[in-house]
Amino acid sequence: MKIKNLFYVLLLLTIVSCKKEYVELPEVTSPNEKATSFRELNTQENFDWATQKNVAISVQGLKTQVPINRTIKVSSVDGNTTYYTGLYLMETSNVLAIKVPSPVTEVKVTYGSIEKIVKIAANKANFSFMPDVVEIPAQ
Amino acid sequence: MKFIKIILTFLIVSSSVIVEAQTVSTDCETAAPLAPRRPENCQAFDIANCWAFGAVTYTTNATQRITGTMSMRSNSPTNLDPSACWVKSPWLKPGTGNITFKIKFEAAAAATIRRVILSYCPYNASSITAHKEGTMVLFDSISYAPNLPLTAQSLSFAVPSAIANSGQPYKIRISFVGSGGTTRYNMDDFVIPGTYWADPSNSCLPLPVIQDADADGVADAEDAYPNDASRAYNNWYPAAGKGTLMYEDLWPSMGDYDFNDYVCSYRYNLVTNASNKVVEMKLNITSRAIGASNRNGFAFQLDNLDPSKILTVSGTSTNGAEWVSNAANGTENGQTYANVIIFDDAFKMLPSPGGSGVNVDLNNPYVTPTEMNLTISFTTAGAAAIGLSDISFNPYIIINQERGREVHLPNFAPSAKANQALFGTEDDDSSKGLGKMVSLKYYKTKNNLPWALSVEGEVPYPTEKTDILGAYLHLAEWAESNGTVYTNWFTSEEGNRNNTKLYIQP
Repeated sequence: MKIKNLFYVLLLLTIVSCKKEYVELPEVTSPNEKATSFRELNTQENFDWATQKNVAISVQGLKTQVPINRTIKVSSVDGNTTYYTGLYLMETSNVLAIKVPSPVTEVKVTYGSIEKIVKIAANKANFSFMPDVVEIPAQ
Repeated sequence: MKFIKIILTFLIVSSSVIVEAQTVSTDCETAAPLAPRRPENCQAFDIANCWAFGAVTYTTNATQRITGTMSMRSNSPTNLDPSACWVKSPWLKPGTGNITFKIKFEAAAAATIRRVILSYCPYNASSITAHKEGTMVLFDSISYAPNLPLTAQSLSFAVPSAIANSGQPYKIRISFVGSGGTTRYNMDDFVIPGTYWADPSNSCLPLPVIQDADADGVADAEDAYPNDASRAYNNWYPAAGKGTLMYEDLWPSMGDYDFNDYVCSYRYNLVTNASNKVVEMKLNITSRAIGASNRNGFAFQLDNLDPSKILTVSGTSTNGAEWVSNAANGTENGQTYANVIIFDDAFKMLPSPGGSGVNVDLNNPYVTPTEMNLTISFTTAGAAAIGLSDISFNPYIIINQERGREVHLPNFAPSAKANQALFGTEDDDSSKGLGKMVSLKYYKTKNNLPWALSVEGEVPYPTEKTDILGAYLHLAEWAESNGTVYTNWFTSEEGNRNNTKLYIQP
């Protein structure tokens, strides 16, 4: 009798231990699946459909001993495309509003002999008339 | 006439170089705005203002300062050569009087000799050096031997009569030299009689005589209109080439998204004057295609711009549509902001050659695109004048002669004449509160899809009934990535376009 009971217990344990577990697999999606018609597109609420962007360039003025007033130019890095031209008083600080193609990440600012490449980040850029200080060698 | 020109030239030169200072000075105390007042920033400020230094730095050390919170400090002199250690002024036109400054020494004994030497140099245009400096002429000096003074000494040297009031630009160099020991100089408060004559925006060369034929304050070399005092600069949008506007015209219902119901190329030039105020807008529009049967009009709004700021509009083409009502200045009546009807019927601009639409089916005859040139002139009087940032170009179509049915670029505000009852109907999901012009969502579906696109460059558009995704192969990834990938989806770069789905001029 004891042997029979033991047999039933072992059988039960075997059955329980062999129960198939159903693991929930993640849904199969194709990462490269893309919309084939415009209606299917899912875009974010804040998506800007424009292929241009507005950029605000903060120009940090430099107090000069006499007023220096000349043309400031914002252009592409190669200088071939001009985004802004205007007269600018060197001692004033101001913001220049320009519009550039979306992929543009840098622009060149030219003011007479002063020429700097400035980076665009979050639709903003900073320009200063201050020259890069050249280390003066010790004598 | 010649006399007037000479007077004008004189006035221009005088006004562009307003002579305020009769001394040229530095007290070492100034840094550029926003820059921390550290020695290197104050020295950089003076360098930006055309002072120059050889083996001299700025210091805040309390035992080295003379006046204020900052002074100069020399290196340890090793020889008596005046070019070893110096402070050099910007170009100036020397006046009469004395050059003054203060010095002291850091130790009384650690030296054999210390000497301050003053020199000047003239401007030499033919010099091969960048600074165009002529030969230095020594004109004064003072020598010290131990015990050297450890308290501030005020030094004063007369400007040489050879250069005083000469009207010519010179630089003054003050050298701090010596031999034996390590004792350094501290220096401060340099004042030189004369008129500042350097241009920080031109490699610190002497101020130029500006050629300015129209006397507007913009040098001829930088003036796009050198003989017109009312104009100075061109500002083009897009900056290079043209842009393309593509519309669907079934709003507020979604269309077939071939984005060719009306297609045009455009570019405009905002001409500004020497005060950077917009004088006029020169708008070039080339109607390229009509993929619709609707008789659509085309217009633009200058957002937030009062119609009264516009003086005249020319170059539009309206053909008596009863819904067109313009004011005397050429802007549309009854608008809150300036609106200009460019034309009232696209088919009058681009007549159908027969068949479906115009220039959307390669099996139909090609119609030469129609170019229009509009000029919008603005008031430049006083406070009413507007700047470049006041111009926000908002082009839109007017569907099938129904004035209130406008289609704008996504998130561009409708005009005051848009029929507000249509917003939020059918597929449109524009926000409410349109009457107050406060919405952030205009002319987009629930999925944020637009009815119009503005693209850089004069790009081809899809043929009739071709979904734009079949023509521009990476537009979907660009849009769904929130514009982070394939930012050049519209260019002709290989793989971007399926040319068989685009209308390319036969």
